[in-house]
Amino acid sequence: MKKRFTLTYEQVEHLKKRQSRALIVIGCIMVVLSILGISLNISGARTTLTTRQALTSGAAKQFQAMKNDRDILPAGEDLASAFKASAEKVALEKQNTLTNQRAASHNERDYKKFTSRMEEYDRELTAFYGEIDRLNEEGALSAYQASISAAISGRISAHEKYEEANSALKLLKRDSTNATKAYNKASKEGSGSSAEEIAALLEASKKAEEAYTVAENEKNALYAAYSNNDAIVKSALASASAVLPKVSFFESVLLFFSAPIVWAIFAVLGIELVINGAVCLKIPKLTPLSVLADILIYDFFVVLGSIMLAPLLYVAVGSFSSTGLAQFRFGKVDFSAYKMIAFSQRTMRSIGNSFLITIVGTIINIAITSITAYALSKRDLPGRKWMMKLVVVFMLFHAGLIPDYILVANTLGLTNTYWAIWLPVIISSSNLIIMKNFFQQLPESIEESARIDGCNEIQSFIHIVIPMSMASIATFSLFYAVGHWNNYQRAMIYISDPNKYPITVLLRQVVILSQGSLADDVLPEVQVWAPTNSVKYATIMVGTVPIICVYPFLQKHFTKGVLLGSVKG
Amino acid sequence: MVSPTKKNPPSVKYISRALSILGLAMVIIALVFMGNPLANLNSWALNATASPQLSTIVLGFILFILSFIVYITNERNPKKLRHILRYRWLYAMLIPAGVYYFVFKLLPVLNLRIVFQYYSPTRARNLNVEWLNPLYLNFKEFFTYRDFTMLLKNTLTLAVLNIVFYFPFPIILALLLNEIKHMKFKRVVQSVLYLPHFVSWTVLGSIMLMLLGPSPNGLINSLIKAAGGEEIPFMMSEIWFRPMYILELMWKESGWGTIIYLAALSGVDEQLYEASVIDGAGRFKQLLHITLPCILPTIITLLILRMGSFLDSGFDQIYLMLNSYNRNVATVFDTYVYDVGLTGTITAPSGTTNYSYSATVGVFRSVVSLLLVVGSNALAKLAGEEGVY
Repeated sequence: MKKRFTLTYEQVEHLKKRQSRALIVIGCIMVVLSILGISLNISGARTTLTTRQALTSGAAKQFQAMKNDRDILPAGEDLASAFKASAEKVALEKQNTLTNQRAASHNERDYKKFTSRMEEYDRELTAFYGEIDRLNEEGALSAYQASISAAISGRISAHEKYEEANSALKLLKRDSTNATKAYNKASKEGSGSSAEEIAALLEASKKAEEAYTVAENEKNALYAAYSNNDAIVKSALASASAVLPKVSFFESVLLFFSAPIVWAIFAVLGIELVINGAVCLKIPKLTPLSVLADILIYDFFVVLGSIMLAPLLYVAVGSFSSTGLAQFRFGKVDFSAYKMIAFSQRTMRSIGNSFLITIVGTIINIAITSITAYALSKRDLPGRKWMMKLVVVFMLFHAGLIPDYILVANTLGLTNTYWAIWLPVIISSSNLIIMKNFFQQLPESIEESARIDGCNEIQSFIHIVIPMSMASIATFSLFYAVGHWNNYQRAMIYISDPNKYPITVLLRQVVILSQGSLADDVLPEVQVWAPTNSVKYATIMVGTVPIICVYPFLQKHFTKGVLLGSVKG
Repeated sequence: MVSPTKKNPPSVKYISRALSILGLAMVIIALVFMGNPLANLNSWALNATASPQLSTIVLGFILFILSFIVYITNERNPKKLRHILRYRWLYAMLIPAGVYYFVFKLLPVLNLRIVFQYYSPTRARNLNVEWLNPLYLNFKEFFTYRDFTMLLKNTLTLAVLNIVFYFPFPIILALLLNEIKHMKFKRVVQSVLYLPHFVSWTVLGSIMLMLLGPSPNGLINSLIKAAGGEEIPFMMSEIWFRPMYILELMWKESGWGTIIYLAALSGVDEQLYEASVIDGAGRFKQLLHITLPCILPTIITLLILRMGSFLDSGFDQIYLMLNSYNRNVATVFDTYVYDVGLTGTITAPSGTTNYSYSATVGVFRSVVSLLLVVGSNALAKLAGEEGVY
């Protein structure tokens, strides 16, 4: 080892003292800085923030108002529905008259002739309806959608809209005149039809024309409104974007430090440094920098631990609040969410399913894995090497989801049974290897003496090995139980009967899919009740707490059980 | 009477070997080339007598067992015979695992022949399954399909981010935990760090949505909005998807990942530290020159095993984060295979069926993973380290 320089004992002591003093000074500076920072921020940055908030909310309001003004878009929809309603009305009237006529002329001798004419009308009517639908879809509806997108981008060509509406109207008008003409022709030909009939038809066509005039007026109004609004909105958008504040980097840093909690953390660090220096001055045995490293490590783990716990605590607190937000007030604990869950059959059933899956699955897993691991742990078992190689090969190469699915669902036909969840994962190869290593470390002498007493391997496994390796078995039970309780994929793939869902599948449907925007594959039967936030939190708690509760009981076995097997593996 | 030390005559050995190979070959040929084992068991039972496939399988098994009987009955070495017979109970204990490995591990691998076939579940009962022409059509379609580059890019990006950001984190945590001398504090910290592992991905996804989702429910976005800012689409944008993926993974698994390193750390010889103190090493020097080299084999082992699941991004996590906003960056092999093969939300290219095509994608992934493990293991051995196997 190279030695670059050597220090005498006194020099080292001197260095340590200087380091301690430096730490105290730095700590004091940090504390003073943080006090200054808090006071400065409260006066300075707070005002910046509030003015900014006021500005922003004002601008946002203005912007919203502009947008609202702009959004006469529903007018397009109204127009479309007006088209449709009036046209439908006309068509319905026509139909009614025709039906009446048919009933009246039932006994007449030219019934047959009349019927053929009726069929002609019917065809015309269908065409008319189709035309209306087409107009509705192509003209008004697409205009509406286009106008929405255009409003978002802020560039609407009202003229185009006008043209579209115009052409739509033209089409509608043409078709209606055609229809009227056909009517007139038909009524002229229809010698058997009465004067009333013709009058009714005339009236109907008149009404249709009236509807068109109304629609045309509306269209003109729309065009006027659009052209009027276009200029307003352009200026509004410009002014709004000018008013909406852009936060610069320095401002964001300022705002960040305005949060007193950051300064508080800074102050705590400073105090720690001061204490560190003072203690090291008092006890000369300690090295200041080493103690500093310890302190920083402890701080790191405190922060990390709170990050790990914070989301869970947030959910736990939220499930006990009536508002659904995590506003926890003492004495205001609200159990209504849990009551709701307790009365929700769906939730209770899925929790029961999860328990069934976990308990039975873990028992199967642990039974088969442990006997296999035990058999493979015998070093002089003929063929053992080949078996271990096979295990490793299948651990590294798996066929994939589809062949597995074909096997379980098609060949074995296990869909909608829990066997599909239990059987494919009976043995986890990595767990098997670790457990095998654990069994290999057990002393062989006890088993040998048992064999001399006449035990076979199965008996010695049950009576000797299992009691000796409870820690390992408990640990692997925990591993398997966690896997089963948290399993989502297999349950989703193989279970389609909602009565058999485990809690994970239910949770996804209640919490994740209920947010419409996030769900693009919502099944129709899924969402029946819209849960409040606190119910969601409570469901999350119910889905998490049981498996967490198992953990402390098994924790004491835990280090012993895994550590022994895994290091050598 | 022959002497007890004499071995089997070679002829018997060869006969039994040939019999066993013949039997296995018959089983495999029957499973792969004759008829369709993918059909339902019930239809098998109905056609049991008529099916040449089933009778071939049974015959193959009988031959296989016969070979053992030939071998054992002709074993002229009573010592060896007794040796094998002595372990009959252990072999009996291995039967369930053998059945499991045959049915749930080997049969799917044999079923992989559907990547060369025009397979669809409605044809399952049809005994003559169409072979593709050319046989590698599915692979050709996959490699030339537009989804291929997207999938590869997304999966590789996540895998590299995983190795770079997530993988070292548990090591650092374990090293820091090892520095804590106060045992009670250490135990509390460990318990807290292990806790997230027990939370399922569904629960984590739900919590993330409640914390970072859009504003009426999401806490952070509600706060941002109340302060007059723009909402940040944490869960619903292409930019945020990858950071959120890594952060979720770190939150959930990094504490649990420390276990194996802590186990390795507990095995480091204390005398090394004592010796180093005498040589004048500080804590950092100890960390660099003693602790790290001691746990290096564990790190390398885990890295090699990690390469085995390099293309495995975690179905549950990704699938629960997936939505229409981030589909372009979040679609990876796991979810793609599921979406193509089972839900049909993504359609396979023309000329293939959803089943065969997605099985092809899965095979590609598995083979690449296997190659990565073998390759990295070889590299590790070349570098003078101990590999996994």
